[in-house]
Amino acid sequence: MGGVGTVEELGALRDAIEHAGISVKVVASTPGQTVGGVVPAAIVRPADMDALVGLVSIARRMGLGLIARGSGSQDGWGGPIRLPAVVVDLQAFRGIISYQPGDLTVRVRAGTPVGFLNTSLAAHGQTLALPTFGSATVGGCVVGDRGGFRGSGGIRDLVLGLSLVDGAGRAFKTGGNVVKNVSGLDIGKLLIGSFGTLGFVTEVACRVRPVPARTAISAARWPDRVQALAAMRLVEDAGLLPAAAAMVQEDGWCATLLQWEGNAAEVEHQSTRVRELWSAGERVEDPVAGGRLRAAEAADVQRGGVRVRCQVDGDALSVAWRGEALAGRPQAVVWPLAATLFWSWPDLDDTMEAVTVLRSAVQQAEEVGGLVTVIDAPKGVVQAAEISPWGNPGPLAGLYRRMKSAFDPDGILSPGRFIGEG
Amino acid sequence: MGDASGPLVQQLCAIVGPAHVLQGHAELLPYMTDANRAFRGTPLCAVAPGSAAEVAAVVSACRAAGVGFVPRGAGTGLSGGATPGDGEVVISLARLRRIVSVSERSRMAVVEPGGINTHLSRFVAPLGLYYAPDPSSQSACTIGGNVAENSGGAHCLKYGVTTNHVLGLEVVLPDGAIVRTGVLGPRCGGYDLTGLFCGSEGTLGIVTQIAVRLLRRPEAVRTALALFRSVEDAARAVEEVTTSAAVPAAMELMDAHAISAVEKGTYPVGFPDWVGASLLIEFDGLAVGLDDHVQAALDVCQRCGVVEARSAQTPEERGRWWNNRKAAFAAMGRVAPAYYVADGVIPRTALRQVLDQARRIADQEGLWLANVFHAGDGNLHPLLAYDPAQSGQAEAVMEVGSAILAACVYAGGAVSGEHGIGLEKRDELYYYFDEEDIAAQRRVHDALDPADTANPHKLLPRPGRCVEVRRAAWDPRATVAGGGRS
Repeated sequence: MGGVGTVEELGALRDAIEHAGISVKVVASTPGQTVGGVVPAAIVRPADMDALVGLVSIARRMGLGLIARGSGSQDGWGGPIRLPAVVVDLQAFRGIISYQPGDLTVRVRAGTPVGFLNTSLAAHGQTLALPTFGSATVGGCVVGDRGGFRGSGGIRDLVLGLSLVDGAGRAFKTGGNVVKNVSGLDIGKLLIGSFGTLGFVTEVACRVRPVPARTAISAARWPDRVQALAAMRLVEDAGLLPAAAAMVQEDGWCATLLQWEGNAAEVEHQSTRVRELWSAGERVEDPVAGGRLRAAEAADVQRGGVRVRCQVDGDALSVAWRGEALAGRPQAVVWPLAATLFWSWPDLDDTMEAVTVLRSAVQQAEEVGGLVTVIDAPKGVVQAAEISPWGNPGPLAGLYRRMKSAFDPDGILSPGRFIGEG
Repeated sequence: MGDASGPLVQQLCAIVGPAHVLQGHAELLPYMTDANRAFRGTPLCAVAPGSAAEVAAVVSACRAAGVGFVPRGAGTGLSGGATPGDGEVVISLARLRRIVSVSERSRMAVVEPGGINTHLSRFVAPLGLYYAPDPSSQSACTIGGNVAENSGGAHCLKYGVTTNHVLGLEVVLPDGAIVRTGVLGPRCGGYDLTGLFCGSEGTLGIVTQIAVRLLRRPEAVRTALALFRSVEDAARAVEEVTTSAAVPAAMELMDAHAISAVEKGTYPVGFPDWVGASLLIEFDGLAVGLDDHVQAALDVCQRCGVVEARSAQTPEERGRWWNNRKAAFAAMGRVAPAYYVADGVIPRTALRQVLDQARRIADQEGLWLANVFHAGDGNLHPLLAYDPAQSGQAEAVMEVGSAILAACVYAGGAVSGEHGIGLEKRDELYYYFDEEDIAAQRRVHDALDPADTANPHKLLPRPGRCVEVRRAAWDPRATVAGGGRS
């Protein structure tokens, strides 16, 4: 059977679903709904596990690509999807499966929004140590390896176990439900940051933590990047322990932002100490500071123009932050604790200019030994710039291919989006 | 040793030099088991390569000869992970123990696998840094072994286990290729191979370099010791302290049997006779908030019926408490000719229930059981005393251990927290996993080691045994009814 894109072909998909007797809703997509720079043929919504497994089997027969989607906040990430393909909307997989506050663990369906989960946990004074990311789902955060600007390993350190359906329609689970578990090969790690190319994550078990007794934000503005960086270094050298940190550069000014968590004595001591350390800067008061912090935290999901993430460690981070090789004066956000930088040219839609700035970002990252990921760019720009949106895997390419084919032998899961194909 | 093996040994001698190839029963004796003496095998030989290239050449030679190879660190593992099968080649990483580089600003060190865990922390101490994972055997075990087993330790309640601290690896794959992953690899996006290799017990290859995260040494540490009349009271305190606002750095529980053993050991604390359980609680971080955290935890203990509780007054006192705790396994030697240590994890809310079940299971077999464990993360270490000279006791102990693991899984837990699967617990994986789950692990394994020469027969259970294993497993309903294992 051929592709899906025409009315007849969509009809064939609907027929196959009806014939299989599974509950999958099919909605034709509209031209504006791009994923990885292309418009998928349709959006399908499996209602349950049987429907999802059945859908995978139909897609294998039809040679149809399946693009996993939670809330859609990461639709811009990665290479262009090879058509024909449909978006598989997993928002029906929603709700808490088990939650024992005394154990600080929860198992949820993957389509559960992080915000909804955190609201439920808050009733017991607990939280998932992840930002809410708009309407992002827990499963989306897992396959996107979302960590936010905290210093810890992000969601990788929170996930205890997963359930999934792979590209051959096989359902299985990995890991466990307790805060420490050695359970054979840790194949669940492969799913974290896999962008829907190894399987549909259907359940996630993760650790949660008590809501800190107190939180506070410290923020200041500086005339340039060098002073902002020096301000961050002062905090580090003073041995203070911010729970989260960000630096933001927009036209003509720089901000340094810190979040404190702990008991009253810890929060009070550290915010007072920072006020002294940052006395040369212009203080930014809440709620402006809080708003800026939330915006900096969402740097990896904002869309529009050209947006690039650069991961780089240590002193190279400060060289990258100066960004002397960059074209066209981008806005910049740094998550110092997570060794991650974002450059964005938010209003850029001219292809030639976009190609120029994208190439300059890759060049800048290479100069500092950083890893560049393109998280958004106008249609066709990545191809025109002749860069790989994930960098060059070199000798690891063969291993990535072997992993991919162990989970997705026919290559139907988000084809073209990630690495490990061909 | 068959004649057919002769050429392989000669080849290995040519690769690493004859001085680094051990043969003959007496020389190989230390390589026949790890710290779990229940499993034993006679290797063809033991080789100690001096570089990653030599490791790769040894691996390639074994593969070409169709002979399995078994990587080995210090041999302190407790699940038979480093125990060779008969005729296999043990590859000791003891000569690869350099600290390759330390980056203060990036808080990262690159080390070779044969280096001892504590040596790294000692080396970076002048920079105010340390390496967090701290298994009780940390003064002997190697970081390579820790990576293979994804080892934990007393402080992983707050800081996580080995996989949370490994940033990149250099690995010799089962086909002899050398690849570098994570921060040591090419700067590109991709699947988390570093995470996959951590805890793979040498079944996917041999790690030859490890990039680890270093942490800044906390500004201050406060340790409290709380004494309870019963394990039940202490377990309730554990649950309440872990769910209050601050995460302790560690929370270690010992029951009366364990206390009686450690008090006969090298580091007695002088516990009163009436103590049914001791709880060691530690907080670290900024000095300014620590006393409040400790006080909050002690208040919880008060509500849970603590009889005596206090903070360590001096670093020496804290050191003595920790030595006392960390020497608990060794101290078992004072009360029994041999002991078996189990390793299971349970949800913290099931602590009281499972400890009670474990006691009943041991009682039914007439075995002496002591509990000393990482209570904060629900990681049980039931210690079963036995006499290997008495026929059948060693087997009985293993069966009781397996029944306790079944109780852990029934309660929502896992069959291992930090000691690995190895040879010991392959079948027990079926307590939680179905055939489909194991088949998925097998597919990933076979994608990297189709010939099954890398630490063969470890970690993954034999396929098709799920039903059989579960049928033979301990059933809690049987114990409640006064039965036993069904």
